[in-house]
Amino acid sequence: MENQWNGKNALVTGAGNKIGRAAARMLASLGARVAVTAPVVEEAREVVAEIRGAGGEAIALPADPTDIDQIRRMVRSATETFGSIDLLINNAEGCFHADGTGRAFPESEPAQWAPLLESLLRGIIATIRYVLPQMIERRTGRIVNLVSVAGVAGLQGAPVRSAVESGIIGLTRSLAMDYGAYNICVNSIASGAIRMKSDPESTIGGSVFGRSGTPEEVANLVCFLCSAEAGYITGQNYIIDGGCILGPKEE
Amino acid sequence: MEMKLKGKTAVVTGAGGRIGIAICSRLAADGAAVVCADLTRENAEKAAETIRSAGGCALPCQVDVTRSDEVRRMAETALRNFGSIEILVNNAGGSAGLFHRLSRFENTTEEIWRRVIDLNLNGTLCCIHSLLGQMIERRYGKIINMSSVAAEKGILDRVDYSAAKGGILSLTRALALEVGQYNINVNCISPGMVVGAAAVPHQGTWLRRSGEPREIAALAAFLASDDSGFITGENHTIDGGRVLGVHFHHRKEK
Repeated sequence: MENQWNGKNALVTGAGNKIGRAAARMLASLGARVAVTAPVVEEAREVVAEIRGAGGEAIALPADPTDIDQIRRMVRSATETFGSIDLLINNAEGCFHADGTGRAFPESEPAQWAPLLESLLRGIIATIRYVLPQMIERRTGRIVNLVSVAGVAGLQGAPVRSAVESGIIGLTRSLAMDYGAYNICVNSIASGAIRMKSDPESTIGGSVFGRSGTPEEVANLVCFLCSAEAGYITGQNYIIDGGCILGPKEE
Repeated sequence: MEMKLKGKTAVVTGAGGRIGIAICSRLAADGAAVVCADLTRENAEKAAETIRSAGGCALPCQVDVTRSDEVRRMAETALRNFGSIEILVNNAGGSAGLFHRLSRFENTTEEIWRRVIDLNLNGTLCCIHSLLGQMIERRYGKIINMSSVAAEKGILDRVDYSAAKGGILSLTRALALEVGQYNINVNCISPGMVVGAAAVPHQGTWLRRSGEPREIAALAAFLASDDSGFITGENHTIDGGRVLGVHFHHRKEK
Protein backbone atom coordinates (compact mmCIF):
# COMPACT_ATOMS: atom_id res chain seq x y z
CA MET A 1 0.00 0.00 0.00
CA GLU A 2 1.19 3.50 -0.79
CA ASN A 3 2.53 5.38 2.21
CA GLN A 4 0.24 8.38 2.73
CA TRP A 5 3.08 10.29 4.41
CA ASN A 6 5.48 10.16 1.50
CA GLY A 7 5.60 13.53 -0.18
CA LYS A 8 4.04 15.24 2.83
CA ASN A 9 5.97 18.15 4.28
CA ALA A 10 5.62 19.18 7.89
CA LEU A 11 6.71 22.25 9.79
CA VAL A 12 7.07 21.69 13.54
CA THR A 13 7.71 24.72 15.74
CA GLY A 14 8.90 24.65 19.31
CA ALA A 15 10.70 21.41 18.65
CA GLY A 16 13.19 22.14 21.39
CA ASN A 17 10.76 20.76 23.93
CA LYS A 18 9.90 17.11 24.39
CA ILE A 19 6.48 17.15 22.77
CA GLY A 20 7.57 19.12 19.71
CA ARG A 21 10.57 16.87 19.38
CA ALA A 22 8.50 13.69 19.65
CA ALA A 23 6.01 14.99 17.06
CA ALA A 24 8.79 15.91 14.63
CA ARG A 25 10.48 12.53 15.04
CA MET A 26 7.28 10.55 14.64
CA LEU A 27 6.15 12.42 11.53
CA ALA A 28 9.59 11.84 10.03
CA SER A 29 9.59 8.16 10.95
CA LEU A 30 6.25 7.75 9.17
CA GLY A 31 7.75 9.20 6.01
CA ALA A 32 7.07 12.94 6.06
CA ARG A 33 9.80 15.52 5.51
CA VAL A 34 10.05 17.77 8.52
CA ALA A 35 11.25 21.32 9.00
CA VAL A 36 12.13 21.63 12.65
CA THR A 37 12.28 25.01 14.33
CA ALA A 38 13.22 26.24 17.75
CA PRO A 39 14.14 29.63 19.18
CA VAL A 40 17.59 28.20 19.82
CA VAL A 41 18.55 26.69 16.47
CA GLU A 42 21.00 24.24 18.08
CA GLU A 43 18.04 22.49 19.67
CA ALA A 44 16.39 22.15 16.29
CA ARG A 45 19.65 20.81 14.85
CA GLU A 46 19.78 18.14 17.54
CA VAL A 47 16.31 16.93 16.58
CA VAL A 48 17.28 16.97 12.90
CA ALA A 49 20.37 14.91 13.65
CA GLU A 50 18.22 12.35 15.48
CA ILE A 51 15.78 12.20 12.57
CA ARG A 52 18.54 11.80 9.98
CA GLY A 53 20.25 9.21 12.15
CA ALA A 54 17.03 7.18 11.98
CA GLY A 55 16.92 7.53 8.20
CA GLY A 56 14.43 10.38 8.01
CA GLU A 57 14.51 13.69 6.17
CA ALA A 58 14.61 16.96 8.07
CA ILE A 59 16.00 20.48 8.13
CA ALA A 60 16.59 22.83 11.05
CA LEU A 61 15.54 26.46 10.99
CA PRO A 62 15.79 29.19 13.60
CA ALA A 63 12.54 30.75 14.73
CA ASP A 64 12.58 33.23 17.53
CA PRO A 65 8.89 33.79 18.24
CA THR A 66 9.52 37.41 19.23
CA ASP A 67 10.90 38.14 15.78
CA ILE A 68 8.05 38.21 13.27
CA ASP A 69 10.45 38.87 10.38
CA GLN A 70 12.40 35.78 11.27
CA ILE A 71 9.18 33.72 11.40
CA ARG A 72 8.29 34.96 7.91
CA ARG A 73 11.74 34.07 6.63
CA MET A 74 11.57 30.69 8.34
CA VAL A 75 8.26 29.84 6.68
CA ARG A 76 9.52 31.01 3.28
CA SER A 77 12.70 29.01 3.67
CA ALA A 78 10.82 25.81 4.66
CA THR A 79 8.39 26.26 1.78
CA GLU A 80 11.18 26.84 -0.75
CA THR A 81 13.22 23.88 0.46
CA PHE A 82 10.31 21.42 0.44
CA GLY A 83 8.09 22.99 -2.21
CA SER A 84 5.11 23.17 0.15
CA ILE A 85 4.01 22.82 3.73
CA ASP A 86 1.16 20.33 4.18
CA LEU A 87 1.24 19.95 7.93
CA LEU A 88 1.89 22.69 10.45
CA ILE A 89 2.43 21.71 14.07
CA ASN A 90 2.63 24.65 16.47
CA ASN A 91 3.96 23.65 19.81
CA ALA A 92 2.85 25.99 22.55
CA GLU A 93 2.79 23.42 25.31
CA GLY A 94 5.32 23.35 28.05
CA CYS A 95 7.35 26.25 26.74
CA PHE A 96 6.76 28.16 29.91
CA HIS A 97 5.65 26.51 33.09
CA ALA A 98 4.53 29.62 34.87
CA ASP A 99 3.66 33.18 34.09
CA GLY A 100 7.03 34.69 34.54
CA THR A 101 9.50 34.99 37.30
CA GLY A 102 7.34 33.33 39.86
CA ARG A 103 6.15 36.56 41.39
CA ALA A 104 2.47 36.73 42.36
CA PHE A 105 0.25 38.12 39.65
CA PRO A 106 -0.73 41.34 41.48
CA GLU A 107 2.98 42.12 41.82
CA SER A 108 3.96 41.18 38.28
CA GLU A 109 5.18 43.61 35.64
CA PRO A 110 3.84 43.67 32.07
CA ALA A 111 7.32 42.79 30.85
CA GLN A 112 6.95 39.40 32.54
CA TRP A 113 3.91 38.61 30.42
CA ALA A 114 5.76 39.36 27.24
CA PRO A 115 7.22 35.88 26.70
CA LEU A 116 3.71 34.45 26.75
CA LEU A 117 1.69 37.15 25.04
CA GLU A 118 4.18 38.52 22.58
CA SER A 119 6.20 35.43 21.90
CA LEU A 120 3.98 32.43 22.29
CA LEU A 121 0.60 33.76 21.20
CA ARG A 122 1.82 36.31 18.67
CA GLY A 123 4.43 33.88 17.34
CA ILE A 124 1.85 31.18 16.68
CA ILE A 125 -0.59 33.59 15.07
CA ALA A 126 2.23 34.83 12.83
CA THR A 127 3.38 31.33 11.88
CA ILE A 128 -0.12 30.35 10.81
CA ARG A 129 -0.55 33.66 9.01
CA TYR A 130 2.49 33.00 6.82
CA VAL A 131 1.86 29.30 6.24
CA LEU A 132 -1.83 29.63 5.31
CA PRO A 133 -1.62 31.29 1.86
CA GLN A 134 0.09 28.34 0.20
CA MET A 135 -2.31 25.90 1.91
CA ILE A 136 -5.25 27.94 0.60
CA GLU A 137 -3.73 28.02 -2.85
CA ARG A 138 -3.23 24.26 -2.88
CA ARG A 139 -6.62 23.57 -1.26
CA THR A 140 -5.13 21.28 1.37
CA GLY A 141 -3.58 21.54 4.78
CA ARG A 142 -3.59 20.42 8.38
CA ILE A 143 -2.77 22.64 11.30
CA VAL A 144 -2.39 21.21 14.79
CA ASN A 145 -1.80 23.56 17.70
CA LEU A 146 -0.33 21.96 20.79
CA VAL A 147 -1.52 23.64 23.95
CA SER A 148 -1.85 22.84 27.62
CA VAL A 149 -4.95 21.82 29.57
CA ALA A 150 -4.31 25.11 31.39
CA GLY A 151 -6.28 26.59 28.52
CA VAL A 152 -9.24 24.30 29.20
CA ALA A 153 -9.36 24.01 32.96
CA GLY A 154 -7.21 26.90 34.13
CA LEU A 155 -3.90 26.47 35.89
CA GLN A 156 -3.47 27.76 39.40
CA GLY A 157 -0.82 30.45 39.64
CA ALA A 158 -0.63 30.88 35.89
CA PRO A 159 -3.41 33.24 34.77
CA VAL A 160 -1.57 34.68 31.80
CA ARG A 161 -0.46 31.32 30.54
CA SER A 162 -4.01 29.97 30.93
CA ALA A 163 -5.26 32.95 28.92
CA VAL A 164 -2.75 32.33 26.14
CA GLU A 165 -3.53 28.61 25.92
CA SER A 166 -7.27 29.39 25.76
CA GLY A 167 -6.47 32.02 23.17
CA ILE A 168 -4.90 29.43 20.91
CA ILE A 169 -7.96 27.19 21.27
CA GLY A 170 -10.17 30.12 20.18
CA LEU A 171 -7.84 30.85 17.29
CA THR A 172 -8.12 27.21 16.25
CA ARG A 173 -11.92 27.26 16.14
CA SER A 174 -12.15 30.49 14.21
CA LEU A 175 -9.58 29.44 11.60
CA ALA A 176 -11.36 26.10 11.15
CA MET A 177 -14.50 27.95 10.09
CA ASP A 178 -12.74 30.39 7.81
CA TYR A 179 -10.59 27.89 5.90
CA GLY A 180 -12.64 24.68 6.00
CA ALA A 181 -13.86 25.41 2.49
CA TYR A 182 -10.24 25.15 1.33
CA ASN A 183 -9.97 21.66 2.80
CA ILE A 184 -7.79 22.90 5.63
CA CYS A 185 -8.40 21.27 9.01
CA VAL A 186 -7.35 23.19 12.09
CA ASN A 187 -7.37 21.47 15.48
CA SER A 188 -5.69 21.78 18.82
CA ILE A 189 -4.47 19.21 21.29
CA ALA A 190 -4.50 20.12 24.95
CA SER A 191 -2.14 17.95 26.92
CA GLY A 192 -1.60 17.57 30.60
CA ALA A 193 0.36 15.40 33.02
CA ILE A 194 2.95 14.67 30.34
CA ARG A 195 6.45 13.76 31.47
CA MET A 196 8.78 16.40 30.04
CA LYS A 197 12.02 15.16 31.55
CA SER A 198 14.12 12.37 30.10
CA ASP A 199 14.20 10.54 33.38
CA PRO A 200 11.63 7.73 33.03
CA GLU A 201 11.25 7.69 36.80
CA SER A 202 10.09 11.28 36.95
CA THR A 203 6.36 11.53 37.09
CA ILE A 204 3.77 14.26 37.13
CA GLY A 205 0.72 13.62 39.24
CA GLY A 206 -2.87 14.04 38.27
CA SER A 207 -3.75 11.28 35.85
CA VAL A 208 -6.28 8.62 36.73
CA PHE A 209 -3.85 5.95 35.51
CA GLY A 210 -1.30 6.58 38.26
CA ARG A 211 1.34 7.42 35.68
CA SER A 212 2.25 10.40 33.59
CA GLY A 213 1.89 10.45 29.84
CA THR A 214 4.79 10.49 27.42
CA PRO A 215 5.57 13.00 24.67
CA GLU A 216 5.28 10.06 22.25
CA GLU A 217 1.66 9.54 23.28
CA VAL A 218 0.92 13.16 22.38
CA ALA A 219 2.80 12.62 19.12
CA ASN A 220 0.52 9.64 18.36
CA LEU A 221 -2.46 11.99 18.52
CA VAL A 222 -0.67 14.61 16.41
CA CYS A 223 -0.02 12.00 13.74
CA PHE A 224 -3.61 10.76 13.88
CA LEU A 225 -4.95 14.29 13.34
CA CYS A 226 -2.49 14.76 10.46
CA SER A 227 -3.41 11.45 8.84
CA ALA A 228 -5.53 11.18 5.72
CA GLU A 229 -8.32 9.46 7.61
CA ALA A 230 -8.82 12.30 10.11
CA GLY A 231 -9.98 14.72 7.42
CA TYR A 232 -13.46 15.24 8.86
CA ILE A 233 -12.16 16.52 12.18
CA THR A 234 -11.79 20.29 12.35
CA GLY A 235 -12.12 23.08 14.87
CA GLN A 236 -11.75 20.63 17.74
CA ASN A 237 -9.66 20.59 20.85
CA TYR A 238 -8.75 17.01 21.69
CA ILE A 239 -7.54 16.52 25.23
CA ILE A 240 -4.83 14.07 26.24
CA ASP A 241 -4.22 14.32 29.94
CA GLY A 242 -4.87 10.95 31.53
CA GLY A 243 -8.11 12.40 32.87
CA CYS A 244 -6.42 15.03 35.04
CA ILE A 245 -9.09 17.66 34.35
CA LEU A 246 -11.91 15.29 35.33
CA GLY A 247 -13.76 15.49 38.61
CA PRO A 248 -13.67 17.98 41.45
CA LYS A 249 -10.47 18.68 43.35
CA GLU A 250 -9.67 15.96 45.86
CA GLU A 251 -8.57 16.95 49.33
CA MET B 1 -1.29 -1.87 7.55
CA GLU B 2 0.07 -2.35 11.01
CA MET B 3 -2.24 -4.66 12.99
CA LYS B 4 -2.71 -2.47 16.03
CA LEU B 5 -5.55 -4.52 17.50
CA LYS B 6 -4.12 -7.96 16.93
CA GLY B 7 -5.10 -10.40 19.67
CA LYS B 8 -7.90 -8.14 20.91
CA THR B 9 -11.62 -8.83 20.86
CA ALA B 10 -14.20 -6.10 20.43
CA VAL B 11 -17.94 -5.95 21.01
CA VAL B 12 -19.67 -3.42 18.75
CA THR B 13 -23.37 -2.73 19.30
CA GLY B 14 -25.56 -1.33 16.56
CA ALA B 15 -23.22 -3.27 14.30
CA GLY B 16 -25.48 -3.33 11.27
CA GLY B 17 -25.93 0.44 10.91
CA ARG B 18 -23.90 2.57 8.53
CA ILE B 19 -21.43 3.67 11.17
CA GLY B 20 -21.58 0.36 13.04
CA ILE B 21 -20.61 -1.72 10.04
CA ALA B 22 -17.72 0.65 9.26
CA ILE B 23 -16.46 0.38 12.84
CA CYS B 24 -16.72 -3.43 12.78
CA SER B 25 -14.83 -3.62 9.50
CA ARG B 26 -12.12 -1.25 10.62
CA LEU B 27 -11.51 -2.95 13.99
CA ALA B 28 -11.33 -6.29 12.19
CA ALA B 29 -8.97 -4.89 9.56
CA ASP B 30 -6.73 -3.74 12.42
CA GLY B 31 -6.63 -7.32 13.69
CA ALA B 32 -9.41 -7.55 16.27
CA ALA B 33 -11.99 -10.32 16.46
CA VAL B 34 -15.37 -8.60 16.50
CA VAL B 35 -18.66 -9.52 18.11
CA CYS B 36 -21.18 -7.82 15.84
CA ALA B 37 -24.19 -7.10 18.03
CA ASP B 38 -27.39 -5.74 16.58
CA LEU B 39 -31.08 -5.57 17.34
CA THR B 40 -31.86 -7.81 14.39
CA ARG B 41 -30.19 -11.11 13.63
CA GLU B 42 -30.12 -10.11 9.98
CA ASN B 43 -28.10 -6.92 10.64
CA ALA B 44 -25.73 -8.70 13.01
CA GLU B 45 -25.04 -11.32 10.35
CA LYS B 46 -24.62 -8.70 7.65
CA ALA B 47 -21.87 -7.01 9.70
CA ALA B 48 -20.20 -10.33 10.53
CA GLU B 49 -20.36 -11.42 6.90
CA THR B 50 -18.73 -8.15 5.79
CA ILE B 51 -15.83 -8.87 8.12
CA ARG B 52 -15.51 -12.53 7.15
CA SER B 53 -15.56 -11.81 3.44
CA ALA B 54 -12.56 -9.53 4.04
CA GLY B 55 -10.78 -12.36 5.85
CA GLY B 56 -11.50 -11.19 9.40
CA CYS B 57 -12.88 -12.92 12.45
CA ALA B 58 -16.46 -12.12 13.48
CA LEU B 59 -19.32 -13.44 15.55
CA PRO B 60 -22.86 -12.17 14.98
CA CYS B 61 -25.01 -11.63 18.03
CA GLN B 62 -28.64 -10.57 18.22
CA VAL B 63 -29.28 -8.27 21.16
CA ASP B 64 -31.74 -5.64 22.28
CA VAL B 65 -29.54 -3.37 24.41
CA THR B 66 -32.58 -2.12 26.33
CA ARG B 67 -33.06 -5.62 27.77
CA SER B 68 -30.56 -6.47 30.48
CA ASP B 69 -31.17 -10.23 30.15
CA GLU B 70 -30.28 -10.09 26.45
CA VAL B 71 -27.22 -7.94 27.12
CA ARG B 72 -26.08 -10.41 29.77
CA ARG B 73 -26.48 -13.21 27.28
CA MET B 74 -24.47 -11.24 24.70
CA ALA B 75 -21.63 -10.81 27.19
CA GLU B 76 -21.70 -14.51 28.08
CA THR B 77 -21.65 -15.55 24.43
CA ALA B 78 -18.80 -13.16 23.66
CA LEU B 79 -16.73 -14.34 26.62
CA ARG B 80 -17.46 -18.01 25.95
CA ASN B 81 -16.23 -17.65 22.38
CA PHE B 82 -13.26 -15.35 22.89
CA GLY B 83 -12.27 -15.63 26.56
CA SER B 84 -11.96 -11.91 27.09
CA ILE B 85 -13.31 -8.66 25.67
CA GLU B 86 -10.85 -5.79 25.52
CA ILE B 87 -12.83 -3.29 23.47
CA LEU B 88 -16.47 -2.22 23.78
CA VAL B 89 -17.98 0.20 21.28
CA ASN B 90 -21.42 1.34 22.38
CA ASN B 91 -22.73 2.37 19.02
CA ALA B 92 -26.38 1.31 19.31
CA GLY B 93 -28.66 4.28 19.59
CA GLY B 94 -30.77 6.76 17.76
CA SER B 95 -33.36 9.47 18.06
CA ALA B 96 -37.14 9.22 17.91
CA GLY B 97 -36.60 9.47 14.17
CA LEU B 98 -36.01 5.71 14.31
CA PHE B 99 -39.72 5.29 14.89
CA HIS B 100 -40.78 8.41 12.98
CA ARG B 101 -41.70 10.38 16.07
CA LEU B 102 -39.44 13.43 15.95
CA SER B 103 -41.22 16.46 17.31
CA ARG B 104 -41.00 19.52 19.51
CA PHE B 105 -40.85 18.41 23.11
CA GLU B 106 -44.22 20.02 23.83
CA ASN B 107 -45.78 17.54 21.40
CA THR B 108 -43.94 14.40 22.44
CA THR B 109 -45.14 11.74 24.85
CA GLU B 110 -43.61 10.08 27.84
CA GLU B 111 -43.57 6.78 26.00
CA ILE B 112 -41.35 8.28 23.28
CA TRP B 113 -38.82 9.93 25.56
CA ARG B 114 -38.58 6.84 27.73
CA ARG B 115 -37.80 4.74 24.67
CA VAL B 116 -35.12 7.18 23.49
CA ILE B 117 -33.47 7.44 26.92
CA ASP B 118 -33.66 3.66 27.29
CA LEU B 119 -32.07 2.87 23.96
CA ASN B 120 -29.23 5.38 24.20
CA LEU B 121 -28.46 5.90 27.86
CA ASN B 122 -29.63 2.75 29.63
CA GLY B 123 -28.46 0.60 26.72
CA THR B 124 -24.96 2.05 27.02
CA LEU B 125 -24.90 1.68 30.81
CA CYS B 126 -26.16 -1.88 30.55
CA CYS B 127 -23.56 -2.98 27.99
CA ILE B 128 -20.73 -1.39 29.96
CA HIS B 129 -21.90 -3.04 33.16
CA SER B 130 -22.00 -6.45 31.50
CA LEU B 131 -18.34 -6.32 30.40
CA LEU B 132 -16.65 -4.03 32.91
CA GLY B 133 -15.98 -6.66 35.57
CA GLN B 134 -13.79 -8.78 33.34
CA MET B 135 -11.96 -5.65 32.11
CA ILE B 136 -11.20 -4.66 35.71
CA GLU B 137 -10.05 -8.20 36.46
CA ARG B 138 -7.66 -8.16 33.51
CA ARG B 139 -6.56 -4.55 34.13
CA TYR B 140 -7.26 -3.66 30.53
CA GLY B 141 -10.12 -2.13 28.61
CA LYS B 142 -11.13 0.39 25.96
CA ILE B 143 -14.70 1.66 26.16
CA ILE B 144 -15.89 3.91 23.37
CA ASN B 145 -19.31 5.49 23.63
CA MET B 146 -21.17 7.18 20.83
CA SER B 147 -22.38 10.53 21.99
CA SER B 148 -23.47 13.24 19.58
CA VAL B 149 -23.06 16.92 18.89
CA ALA B 150 -26.55 16.99 20.44
CA ALA B 151 -24.92 16.43 23.84
CA GLU B 152 -23.04 19.70 23.95
CA LYS B 153 -25.10 21.78 21.55
CA GLY B 154 -28.64 20.40 21.51
CA ILE B 155 -30.64 19.56 18.38
CA LEU B 156 -34.17 20.68 17.58
CA ASP B 157 -36.92 18.07 17.88
CA ARG B 158 -34.54 15.84 19.83
CA VAL B 159 -34.76 17.05 23.42
CA ASP B 160 -34.87 13.46 24.66
CA TYR B 161 -32.01 12.36 22.42
CA SER B 162 -29.91 15.38 23.43
CA ALA B 163 -30.48 14.51 27.08
CA ALA B 164 -29.57 10.86 26.53
CA LYS B 165 -26.40 11.72 24.60
CA GLY B 166 -25.50 14.28 27.25
CA GLY B 167 -25.91 11.52 29.79
CA ILE B 168 -23.55 9.33 27.80
CA LEU B 169 -20.94 12.10 27.77
CA SER B 170 -21.27 12.59 31.52
CA LEU B 171 -21.11 8.89 32.33
CA THR B 172 -17.99 8.69 30.20
CA ARG B 173 -16.25 11.28 32.37
CA ALA B 174 -17.34 9.79 35.71
CA LEU B 175 -16.54 6.23 34.67
CA ALA B 176 -13.12 7.31 33.40
CA LEU B 177 -12.40 8.63 36.88
CA GLU B 178 -13.44 5.34 38.46
CA VAL B 179 -11.68 2.86 36.23
CA GLY B 180 -8.48 4.66 35.22
CA GLN B 181 -6.70 2.84 38.04
CA TYR B 182 -7.50 -0.44 36.25
CA ASN B 183 -5.95 0.76 33.01
CA ILE B 184 -9.32 1.19 31.36
CA ASN B 185 -9.90 4.10 28.99
CA VAL B 186 -13.40 5.48 28.54
CA ASN B 187 -14.02 7.96 25.74
CA CYS B 188 -16.78 9.46 23.61
CA ILE B 189 -17.08 10.10 19.93
CA SER B 190 -19.56 12.77 18.85
CA PRO B 191 -20.19 12.46 15.15
CA GLY B 192 -21.92 15.17 13.18
CA MET B 193 -23.38 14.75 9.71
CA VAL B 194 -22.40 11.33 8.35
CA VAL B 195 -23.95 10.14 5.12
CA GLY B 196 -23.67 6.92 3.13
CA ALA B 197 -20.44 5.35 2.03
CA ALA B 198 -18.90 8.43 0.45
CA ALA B 199 -18.80 12.08 1.43
CA VAL B 200 -21.32 14.29 -0.31
CA PRO B 201 -21.30 18.08 -0.54
CA HIS B 202 -22.97 19.61 2.45
CA GLN B 203 -23.29 23.33 3.15
CA GLY B 204 -23.89 22.80 6.86
CA THR B 205 -20.27 21.96 7.62
CA TRP B 206 -17.29 24.26 7.29
CA LEU B 207 -15.51 21.60 5.27
CA ARG B 208 -18.53 21.73 2.90
CA ARG B 209 -19.00 17.98 2.92
CA SER B 210 -20.57 15.26 5.01
CA GLY B 211 -18.46 12.72 6.81
CA GLU B 212 -17.97 9.13 5.77
CA PRO B 213 -18.62 6.22 8.14
CA ARG B 214 -15.03 5.07 7.64
CA GLU B 215 -13.82 8.38 9.10
CA ILE B 216 -15.77 7.76 12.31
CA ALA B 217 -14.41 4.21 12.28
CA ALA B 218 -10.82 5.46 12.01
CA LEU B 219 -11.34 7.60 15.12
CA ALA B 220 -12.88 4.62 16.95
CA ALA B 221 -9.92 2.46 15.93
CA PHE B 222 -7.48 5.08 17.21
CA LEU B 223 -9.30 5.25 20.55
CA ALA B 224 -9.39 1.43 20.71
CA SER B 225 -5.65 1.16 20.16
CA ASP B 226 -2.78 1.54 22.60
CA ASP B 227 -1.69 4.65 20.68
CA SER B 228 -4.29 6.56 22.67
CA GLY B 229 -3.48 5.05 26.07
CA PHE B 230 -3.29 8.42 27.85
CA ILE B 231 -6.60 9.74 26.53
CA THR B 232 -9.56 9.18 28.82
CA GLY B 233 -12.82 10.80 29.86
CA GLU B 234 -12.89 12.92 26.76
CA ASN B 235 -15.28 13.76 23.99
CA HIS B 236 -14.07 13.60 20.38
CA THR B 237 -16.26 15.61 18.08
CA ILE B 238 -15.93 14.73 14.40
CA ASP B 239 -18.31 16.85 12.40
CA GLY B 240 -16.48 18.89 9.79
CA GLY B 241 -16.76 21.84 12.14
CA ARG B 242 -20.54 21.89 11.98
CA VAL B 243 -21.12 23.00 15.54
CA LEU B 244 -18.49 25.73 15.60
CA GLY B 245 -19.32 29.36 15.91
CA VAL B 246 -22.06 31.62 17.09
CA HIS B 247 -25.43 31.05 15.46
CA PHE B 248 -28.22 33.52 14.96
CA HIS B 249 -31.39 31.59 15.65
CA HIS B 250 -33.67 34.56 16.04
CA ARG B 251 -35.51 35.37 12.85
CA LYS B 252 -36.93 38.79 12.28
CA GLU B 253 -40.67 38.98 12.03
CA LYS B 254 -41.89 39.73 8.59
